[in-house]
Amino acid sequence: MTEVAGEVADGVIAHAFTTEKYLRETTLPALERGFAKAGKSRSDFEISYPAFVVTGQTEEEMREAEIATCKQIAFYGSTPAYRPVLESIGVGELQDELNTMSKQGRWDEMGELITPDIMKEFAVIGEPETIAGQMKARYGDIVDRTSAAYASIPKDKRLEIIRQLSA
Amino acid sequence: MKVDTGINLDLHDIPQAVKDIEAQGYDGVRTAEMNHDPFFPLLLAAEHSEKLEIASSIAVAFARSPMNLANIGHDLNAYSKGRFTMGLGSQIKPHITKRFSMPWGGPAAQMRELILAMRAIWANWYEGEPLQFVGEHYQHTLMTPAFTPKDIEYGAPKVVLAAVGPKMTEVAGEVADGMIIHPFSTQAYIDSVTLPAIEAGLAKAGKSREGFELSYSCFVVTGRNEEEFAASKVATQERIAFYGSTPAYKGVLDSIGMGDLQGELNTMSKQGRWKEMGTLITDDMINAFGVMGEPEEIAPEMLRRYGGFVDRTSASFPVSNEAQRTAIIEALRAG
Repeated sequence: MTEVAGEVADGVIAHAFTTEKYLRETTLPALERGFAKAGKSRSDFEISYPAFVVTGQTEEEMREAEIATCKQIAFYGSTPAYRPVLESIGVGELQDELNTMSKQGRWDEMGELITPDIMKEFAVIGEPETIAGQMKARYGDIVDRTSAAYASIPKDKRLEIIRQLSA
Repeated sequence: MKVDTGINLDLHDIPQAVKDIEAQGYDGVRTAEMNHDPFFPLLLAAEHSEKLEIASSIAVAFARSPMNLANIGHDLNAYSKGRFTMGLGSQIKPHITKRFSMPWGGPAAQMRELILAMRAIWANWYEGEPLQFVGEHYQHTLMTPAFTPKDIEYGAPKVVLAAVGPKMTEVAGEVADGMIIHPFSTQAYIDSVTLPAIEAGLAKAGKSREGFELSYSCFVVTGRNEEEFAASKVATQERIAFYGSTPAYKGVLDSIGMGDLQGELNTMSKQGRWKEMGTLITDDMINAFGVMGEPEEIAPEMLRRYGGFVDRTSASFPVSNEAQRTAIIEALRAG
């Protein structure tokens, strides 16, 4: 599908459920194959990637953001089609377990299977002041735009992140 | 009789047009699906009016899946606080298969299933019924909390169906909340085909005629002067001829003994002789398909002929004098 995006679309919306490793090792090469088919170059094309962000001003807020993000990651991880993303960080077998639990409606519990190590692969984690810098360092050379959400931090902190990202 | 009017589909024009229409005393606005999406204008119409009922009339059902329609119906009804009516029609096979590239089953059976599928989805969202709809044309068996709307205060919109033939009309009676009678209908056809088929459909579902809303927009030929009247007459003749060229509508011409005309009109339409086709429509035929006369004669005649069974109309009144047009609307609403 990513190759099709490279060939016939004007841009790709990378899934939030994507690790940096998957973006670099799977998404980008597939896009390049699509570009080559259509004789396009990367500069004609826009890559959008939301990225999970775990942030907060207090430990409690951080914890809430972590739980919400883990639940979201677990929800996506239960989808068989997304197994290769989990495989990119060596936890492909988790997909089976999440899928089984989703069929039993155990949505809350599923989030608990997402360890801090797994969360780190999917999310940018830290104090509000560090988020923009981290996002730029990890994705700045790949991503043209983002629609990441910044949890429940106050508006001024959110706007500061957006200002730094846009700069 | 409630009176509705169409709105054109240019999104820039909708806010002002809707405010004007509400001020003029209409009960509702409706959109047809032509060269734009029929639902986006209704979202703006909901935002820029207080009481107007908003309806698609019609949206092409088979161009969309029941889930897609259920979502649109939910959103427009929730946002308008219960003012939305989803008007659906089948279109004809070439448009579904060649324009939309979508499957065409037996249209009446497929439409029946499409509406029942939408209702199953809404029952899942609003009443927590399990989603287990397994039909011949549509299957909906998957729904999770993430895809279930939370703003369910206003529930499902009304669903009305446009129909011409007896099978589709019966489906309307059985599974819809109302029916849009095609403008290309004669009194004889409505009496002999439409109303009995609706009754048959209502009986199947154990419903009564009360609460089932019938909409009919007969042709109206009128004008404030001879010139305007003549223009209105020619436009009406051309529209009747256009509809009359459609093979599926031959039954309507049969109702007034003019079935043979369908073949002739169809042949002429394929030769692009649209203007000439209108000249075949006689005064007797115009009177069979609608009301022709002075502006002040229109409302009383519509009420006399249709007041007994029609709940709402979106007939257009081609009178350039606003006072005369307003008088027609007021008389109909009072009747």
